[in-house]
Amino acid sequence: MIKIRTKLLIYFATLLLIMVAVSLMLYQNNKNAVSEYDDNFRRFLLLNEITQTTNAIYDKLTLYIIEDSPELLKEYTKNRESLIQLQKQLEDLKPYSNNIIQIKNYENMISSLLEQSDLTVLSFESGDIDLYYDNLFETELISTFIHETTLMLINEELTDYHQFYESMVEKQRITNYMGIAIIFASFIISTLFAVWFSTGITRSISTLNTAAHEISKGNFEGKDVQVSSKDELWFLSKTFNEMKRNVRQLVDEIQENSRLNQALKEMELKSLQNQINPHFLFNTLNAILKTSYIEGAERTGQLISSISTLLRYNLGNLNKTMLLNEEVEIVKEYFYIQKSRFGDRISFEINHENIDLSIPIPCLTLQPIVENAFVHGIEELEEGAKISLEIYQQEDHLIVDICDNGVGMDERTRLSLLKNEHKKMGTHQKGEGHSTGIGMQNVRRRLEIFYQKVDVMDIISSPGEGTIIRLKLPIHFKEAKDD
Amino acid sequence: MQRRMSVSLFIIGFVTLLSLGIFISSSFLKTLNINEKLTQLVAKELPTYHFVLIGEEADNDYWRLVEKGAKEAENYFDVHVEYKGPKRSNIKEHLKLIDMAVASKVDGIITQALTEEEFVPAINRAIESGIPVVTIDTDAPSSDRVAYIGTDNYYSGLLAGKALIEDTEGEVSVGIITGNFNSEHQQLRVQGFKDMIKDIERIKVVAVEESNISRLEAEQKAYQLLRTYEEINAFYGTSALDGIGIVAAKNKVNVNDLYIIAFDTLDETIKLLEGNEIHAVVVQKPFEMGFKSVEVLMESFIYQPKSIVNHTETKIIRKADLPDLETEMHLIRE
Repeated sequence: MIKIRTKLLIYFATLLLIMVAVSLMLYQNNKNAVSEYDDNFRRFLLLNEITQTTNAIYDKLTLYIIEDSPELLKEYTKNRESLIQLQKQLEDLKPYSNNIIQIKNYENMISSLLEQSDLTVLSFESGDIDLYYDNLFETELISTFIHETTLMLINEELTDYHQFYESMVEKQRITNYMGIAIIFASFIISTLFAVWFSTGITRSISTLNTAAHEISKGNFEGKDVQVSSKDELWFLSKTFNEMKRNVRQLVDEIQENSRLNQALKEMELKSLQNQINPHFLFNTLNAILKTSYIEGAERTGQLISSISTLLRYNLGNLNKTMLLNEEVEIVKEYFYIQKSRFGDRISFEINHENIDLSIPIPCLTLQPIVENAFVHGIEELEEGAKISLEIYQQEDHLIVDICDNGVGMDERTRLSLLKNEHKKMGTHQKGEGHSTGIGMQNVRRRLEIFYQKVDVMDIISSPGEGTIIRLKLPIHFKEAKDD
Repeated sequence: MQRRMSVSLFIIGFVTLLSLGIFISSSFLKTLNINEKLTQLVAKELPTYHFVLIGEEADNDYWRLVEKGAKEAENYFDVHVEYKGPKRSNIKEHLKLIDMAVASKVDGIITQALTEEEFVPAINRAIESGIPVVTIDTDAPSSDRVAYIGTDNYYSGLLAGKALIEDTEGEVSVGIITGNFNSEHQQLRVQGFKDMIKDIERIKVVAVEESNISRLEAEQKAYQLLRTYEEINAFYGTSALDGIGIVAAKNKVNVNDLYIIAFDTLDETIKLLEGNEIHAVVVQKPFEMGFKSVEVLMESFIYQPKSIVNHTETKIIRKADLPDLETEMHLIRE
């Protein structure tokens, strides 16, 4: 992750670097140009100085010969020394000149002058008037040659310098344009970068903004916020997305809980609807039971006892968790009553080969299903109707099959029973429900909520083939939520 | 909308950047070029020897050819030839250049010796200082020069006279324009000519004038001669520009039937020869002279030249000989 701060720092540093480089380049270029001008100018000064010194040598020599004073000789020697120095400097001038041959001539002329003037001094000191006069004349001649050559050299150098100057001016001009172009280019680069950078930030912020607005309106379904750059904004949007997901999950959970509560309340209401003063009914049944025993009607007594058990179970707390064997007992009681009603028209069967049936199950689960099978499946059959309850173990589940050989159901009905239709629940089932009136869907929902899993119930059926309602109960289920 | 705007902004920016980049790199290359040009001013190593060639006149076509020959010799010998000469033909100036060359301690001097009287001391001074001198074009036989390279000027005068005799019939009055009365070689050319025709009755020299080896003066003198001596029907110009000057004067006076002999194969002279304005040209070999002088001077460092006087070829050409000359000149220019 590159921080925005780092990005900005790099950006400014680069910009600064370019600017400094450009100004350095221009500065260096200027400096070079000035030094080259300087070097060139120095040549002219050198040439000028050489003629001056040459003239001085000749003047001093003439004066010395006329006046013969050691002072003048000293001055002459001094000038001579400086001319030798200047002659040496000419050597530096050579490599940069087009007039190398002239400079060589020039050097040699200076040497000739020095030789000739020395000869003059020598012959003067030896007193040979003819000789020193000749030599002095010769010296003068050479000094005029030097003077002329100087003029010519300066002329030539000026011609060269003109060319050099033109090139330098051209170079200077190009370099200046180049500098301006570089500055302009870096300006464009920095502008583009700034635009790119700021749109990167603002785009991320505006998408975050929109997403936050959606959430504040209660819409948690929107897409995640995507930020392409890997900076603080990326981190911010990542956490924002996480937060949104968490909130959505929480809301879902709350909705689920309220749905469960609604289902329970509905069931309670239904059972209340179905009890017409149940305690009065219950007491009356007990009185009838006693009377039947007194009168010796044992079968009647048995029936009344069954119905009383069923009634008591129904009147119990619906929120209570029961064990599977208790539920099976209730189903047995129910079977007994129905058996006595229909006699041989119907047969009941319960098979649970030595399985431990003490697993938790919500109250009133099996009986409504059995009742349903009875009412919808086989009530209309004239004979041979059969309802069986098969319990067996399959891996870590207890399978409870409630089978009937009745009319069965078509696929649409089957799917509608397995599908969650919260709103229809209750109203739609009301008419079709029987004594307890608790619909299949209600049972399924309760099982699902109770076991916290979805595929608790399955229905195997087709029209005319009977129906198997299959419950898959986890064996190792520990009751999680106990109110 | 905003997206499209920013995309187009980026495209424009990119294109501008690209063009700026191209501009910057091309300018950079240009500055590099200039730098290279500036450093190219650095001269190469000088050859071991340094000769000075002093011509009669610096910017003269004939002397330029001599220079070309000498420069050509640079390719064969370890030598640098510096060409010098007075702006206008001037003996004092010429002598000064010799003295300057001596003061410059050059390794050899190639000079024209216009007059014996003035040039011998200067040449001898140089020899005394240990600098070998070769005379070219015009000799100073009484000097201590190492050698002479050039035309046999007397012989070239003879050739001119012979051409005149061959090409003309009847009475002929000749006007002579010569470069300089003081110059040895000009005198020899006139002398040779005069000696050739002295036994021919029908040919006589009417007048001799000097042109100072200037085209304008040559024209002026020829004009005066044509005015003064109406009988002149032939001209002989002994220095390179005289022939051209004579033709110009002839055209002014409107005289036809003028037989003209010129000296040296300057481009203009050749053109006039082609146009039948000039009838014969005495050809010298300036290129060969230049080359040979350097060669002899180089040899003189090792041994005394076999012959002190080295005559280069000289001949007469007429219009018919032009093709041969063309090829020869072409070879020189190559």
